[in-house]
Amino acid sequence: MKYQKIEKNNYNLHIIKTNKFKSINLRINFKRKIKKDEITIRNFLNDLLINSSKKYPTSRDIEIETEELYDLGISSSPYKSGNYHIISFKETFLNEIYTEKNMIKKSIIFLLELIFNPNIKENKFDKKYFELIKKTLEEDIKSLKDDTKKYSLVRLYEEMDNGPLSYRSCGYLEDLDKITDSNLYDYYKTVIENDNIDIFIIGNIEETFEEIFDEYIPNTIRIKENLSHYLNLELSEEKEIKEKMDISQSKLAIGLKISDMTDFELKYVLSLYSLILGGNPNSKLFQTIREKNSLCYYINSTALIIPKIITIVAGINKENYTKTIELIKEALENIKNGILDDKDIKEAKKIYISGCREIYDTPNLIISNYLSHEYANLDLVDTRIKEIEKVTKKDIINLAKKISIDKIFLLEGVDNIEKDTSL
Amino acid sequence: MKKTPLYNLDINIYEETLDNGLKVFVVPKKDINNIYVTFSTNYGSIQNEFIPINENKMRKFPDGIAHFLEHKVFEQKSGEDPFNFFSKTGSDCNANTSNFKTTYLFVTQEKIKENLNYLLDFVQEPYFTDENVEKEKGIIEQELKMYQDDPDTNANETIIYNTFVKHPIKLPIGGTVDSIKKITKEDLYTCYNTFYNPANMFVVVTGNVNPKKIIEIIKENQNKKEFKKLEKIKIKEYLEPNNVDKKEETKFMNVTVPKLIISYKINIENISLNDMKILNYIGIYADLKIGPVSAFLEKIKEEKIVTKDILYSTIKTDKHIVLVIEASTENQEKLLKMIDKEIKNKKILEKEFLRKKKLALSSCIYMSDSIYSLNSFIMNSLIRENKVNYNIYEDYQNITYKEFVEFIDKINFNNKSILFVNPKE
Repeated sequence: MKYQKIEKNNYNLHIIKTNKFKSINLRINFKRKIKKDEITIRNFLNDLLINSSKKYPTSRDIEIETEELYDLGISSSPYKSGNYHIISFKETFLNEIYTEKNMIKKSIIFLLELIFNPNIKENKFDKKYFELIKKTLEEDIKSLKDDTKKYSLVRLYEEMDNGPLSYRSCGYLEDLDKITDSNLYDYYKTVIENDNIDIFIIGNIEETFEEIFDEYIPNTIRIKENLSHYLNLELSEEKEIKEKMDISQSKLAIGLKISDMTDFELKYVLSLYSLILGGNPNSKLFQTIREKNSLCYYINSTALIIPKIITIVAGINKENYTKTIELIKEALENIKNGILDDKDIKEAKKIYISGCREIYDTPNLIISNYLSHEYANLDLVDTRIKEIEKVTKKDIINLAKKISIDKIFLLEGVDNIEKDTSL
Repeated sequence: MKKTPLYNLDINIYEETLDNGLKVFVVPKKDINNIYVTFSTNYGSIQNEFIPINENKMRKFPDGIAHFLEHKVFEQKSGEDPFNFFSKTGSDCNANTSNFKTTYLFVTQEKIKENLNYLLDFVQEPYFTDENVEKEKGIIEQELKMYQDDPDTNANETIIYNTFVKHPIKLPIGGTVDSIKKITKEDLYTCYNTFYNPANMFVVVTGNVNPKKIIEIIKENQNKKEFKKLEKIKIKEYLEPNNVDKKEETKFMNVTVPKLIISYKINIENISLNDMKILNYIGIYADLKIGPVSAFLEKIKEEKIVTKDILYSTIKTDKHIVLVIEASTENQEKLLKMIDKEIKNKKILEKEFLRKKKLALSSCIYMSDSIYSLNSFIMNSLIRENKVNYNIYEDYQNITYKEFVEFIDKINFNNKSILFVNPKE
């Protein structure tokens, strides 16, 4: 595998050459500093561009073209990355060795057409698709509560922070109302001309395809922000929040904050700690709460490096709430007090390392690895595998002492006894 | 050990059937770090009434028992948790139950011999006690409730329940909170002994391995164990009628936008095509009629009847194929009429069909590039046709517009069940 980065005024091109895959993957990211009131309009652009363009006015035209291009896959997703917001376009297509000559170029141009040649008439986005996407986004925002697991995490983040962590990724109705087909086009131009653009391409390729990108991407100088991606949340007292909903299983979401981590703790110890706590079926939480006490089907913890937090989620019966919380707190205390075996650490390291190696098997994970290096200075796979071995039991205990529960959110279901699942 | 290439896909499959009847398939793939191993039994939620091994009468078992058994197979006499064992090498271990099969699996990068032996041993050495069976009921109850809270899963289970009359595919794979409470240790042993016989099972290994070594490891392991000889398992046959059980229902759930779900129940007894073709043709048909490439979807989006794509899925039993269509809409009645009319209008252009053929061929190449897709492909072939289709690429090359049109002409979309899902408030 060979990596090459070409830095230009208007974009960075990252080329990863490998002959491991029959497909080629392309990713184009647009990044700028996150602002709460821009999330909705960025979501709008994200959806609109991938559904309609000058050359392919309808999503049907786009779908038909993806079939002509031998089952080419496209997707786009807007997401938060700490202090930044990113619109990410992804494309997967077969290497032309398996299809026909010139298909690589044609496939790349197809995605560029969607992004850089939108369906504009008289300085406005085409009315038909504008209205359609607006309605879709409105439904998405209104149906946030349909996915109860996701909703409890959204609510947890809102309780934990007032800054970027708390912003809703789906956007806000009041911002949506303000978007028009003409101010959206104005905003689009600022994205195309000012956002930082990173392009990743991976596959068995001989060229850089630079001239194609040059042709589409406006040659404007883009300012690189000094602000890091990482969030520094304020610590606060433990607080419990409950919300009621007519569901049969209550959804628990707990947020943990960590004070003053070193760089090494943030990049390595935190992930290992979370793996031991609740990151795998052999973890403390899974073994105690599910296996020993039969209180849930799923319980797990996740370390989020960019916002520097850990979340724990579980689905429980509401009458078991107190007991579950007690057991979770006990598990946290135990690690703090050094009640963990060397075996736990050794196994967590093994899981971490095989996760790293697995990255090499999947083109999109390889891209994400280089991307996190580019954005947040996280280490590349080979370094990660070496560094994780250095984490000691003492490191885990020291980190555990810096961790505290910040918020406990419970989406409380109705009475479980009368509501059975029989059809 | 027999070696057969997957036609036109640069892949070789090694296979061997052991003395005890266990089938083994190995697909080596260099350059990949992971090794993916699955161990499956031809036993899913629908094999619920049968003559148990060494018995002579049909017996019915509580709904959801295959899935319950999947959970309990992880129980070891030594008290060791299999998750624990696999964690030692950083390997992922899991299991799943479908309508048709139960699969135990792990993904590893090292110590393939130890891990493979462990998988075979933990699945083949059950340890059920009254106590550990009781303990599991709480966990599975939470699993079922989690599915209940998901409107999509709930709606899907409801429409399938309403579509079938007698066939056990009607019921959710996990059963219900009431049915699982009835499961006993003895039930579990009876089902286990019948279906977890090697002659009813298969192992599929895909990834960075040496096929010869893999087959040796499995042989050595199996030679140490003794199993009863398994005659063909007699499973109750169901005279499933062509009509649906319930034509219409309205349910209230936690949804913001109402949903419309339609299932078409199609008899396929007079169709002489293989399963792969039937499933593909019906998929192509649905996609061309109401999928993202259809003029129909474009039109109803324009009219703001829907904003998102219409989703569809298929379920096939011995006598029927069911096409389930799902859409979110504020205008359920109007959309219902429109979809029904569109599905019954069987006109498809040849050029549209040929595009789908191109797509099918490309998807074979994508499939051959992933150890997970390759493994699933082999498992599904075995479940559906009891053999691997080595000529899948060629089969797709040979599908024709004429055959497709003849198939579509033969089937009828007259039997349907409708589910309206409305917001709770």
